[in-house]
Amino acid sequence: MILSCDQIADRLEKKGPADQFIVIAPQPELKVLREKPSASVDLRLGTWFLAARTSSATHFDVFEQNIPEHKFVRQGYAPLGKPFIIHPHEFVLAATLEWISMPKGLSGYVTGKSSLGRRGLVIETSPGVHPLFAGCIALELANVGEIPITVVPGMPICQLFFHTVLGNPPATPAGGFSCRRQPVLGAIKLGPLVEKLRQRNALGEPPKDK
Amino acid sequence: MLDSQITADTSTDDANNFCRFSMDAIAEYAAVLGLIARSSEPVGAIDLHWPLKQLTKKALGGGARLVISSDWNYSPVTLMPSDLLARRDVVLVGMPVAEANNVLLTPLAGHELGHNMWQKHSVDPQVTTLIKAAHEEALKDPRWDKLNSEFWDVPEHAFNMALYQAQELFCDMVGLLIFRESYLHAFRYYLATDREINRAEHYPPMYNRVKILCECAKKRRIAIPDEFIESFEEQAEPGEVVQLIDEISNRCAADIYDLAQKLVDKLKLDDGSPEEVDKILECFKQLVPACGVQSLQDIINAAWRFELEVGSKTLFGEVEGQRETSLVSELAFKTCEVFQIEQELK
Repeated sequence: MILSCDQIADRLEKKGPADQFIVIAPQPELKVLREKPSASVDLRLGTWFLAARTSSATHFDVFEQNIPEHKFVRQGYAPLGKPFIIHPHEFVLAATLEWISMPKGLSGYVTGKSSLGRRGLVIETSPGVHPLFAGCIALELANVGEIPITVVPGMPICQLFFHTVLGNPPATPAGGFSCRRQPVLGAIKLGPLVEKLRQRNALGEPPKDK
Repeated sequence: MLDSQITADTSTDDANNFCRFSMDAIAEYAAVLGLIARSSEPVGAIDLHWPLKQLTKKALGGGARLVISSDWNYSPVTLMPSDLLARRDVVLVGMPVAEANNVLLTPLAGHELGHNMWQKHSVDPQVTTLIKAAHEEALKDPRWDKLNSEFWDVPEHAFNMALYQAQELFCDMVGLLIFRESYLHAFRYYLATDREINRAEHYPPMYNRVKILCECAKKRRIAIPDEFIESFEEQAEPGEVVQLIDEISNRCAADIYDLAQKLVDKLKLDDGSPEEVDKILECFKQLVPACGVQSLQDIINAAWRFELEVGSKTLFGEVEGQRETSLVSELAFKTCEVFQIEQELK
């Protein structure tokens, strides 16, 4: 079940089921939220960015993750209200200005503002927000258009939908990206299958054909 | 002088003077440019700039400018502004680069602000009078007769150094009065291991600074952290001249505190509230930044309490090392940003 704007405002005011109380800091204006004819809350662009470097590394290898993050990306900052330009075919990591604290009874998903999407700015590629997540949501911004696009920290950039979690809600948060206010690359998990095969290759063991 | 212009009618002497002033100014600004250029970790500086600048403006007036940098070359945490920069209300805060993203060190910037307040609010002449009296009184002690008679320049040197020490004490007191408990925590965190192998005579001895801070904290009803004094080592007795200098500045400590307190109260720099600190701490414990914050001091005091009562490791032991040490900075710096946004929208 997706929460309406009115219900989102209730949860922000600590009304309704206790396991669905949401915290958003800075808090959106509740009166405006309640009057919004939709089922999501708008989130704004934050001030910190990670932009890809073009010269320090030849490629990104998931097997060689010990290489420091700064070899691949450089950190950028644009003050609130000042422009940040994303050039054609450039990929930039950003984060929402709002810090979200998800309760255990709700999860969410993020979608970009369609008005920016129509101009070539793809805003989010991994939109799931798990129960008990706390932090600023990372945004993957990609300009797939042909002309540079200016974005401004503080402008609405995406929207967050909330839906209830059925069954037993989780007791601990998922993932390692919680409690961050800046975007980070983070580690890529290869999964048990790849890890096992890799270990076997390193030991020189033959594959199990049969 | 720098605002005047050289024309065809300018005399050679005036032109020479102009050039000399210009060169002095370039030399002073070069130090600041170097401080900025060497800055290696901008994250903390950027996040802290807005709330600290509001405090700076209250202390020095609306035209005050603030430069925060992180630099391997400057340690301990702060850098004293040159006369030229202080006259232009430029406050320099140099964070040690290894700690530049650590919000818990913020209170030490209060000490630096004290140096600018010393100049801006003419504290210097008032303390000079105090030091002069203490100097005369101290020299009456027969212990210093030998020094007095054998070294003609000792009295003047002792006076000058005692005045420097007095300024450092004043700045400690300003930091304490503005940031309250968190100043003591930050002071211990950063300076408790300082063995002072080569004692600088223009700084009061560390053990004296700590004892004076505690006395001032008691007067202001600021809670002193457990085993605060014990965290610092008592130093070996310095040479006779330094003993004289220390004695002179020590005699004035109580009066310097009165001056600092009056100034901080007059400028309304101590606008923190224990209730607000409690509220912010509750938010931090729920892993959310606080909204509706009234002052930077409350954020920093809540951050220190979070660090001491909860500790980042307790909550995030399973996540990579980098995260363990910076959770409190994440929450506090984000609260600083929320504070800024809320104030901008007012």
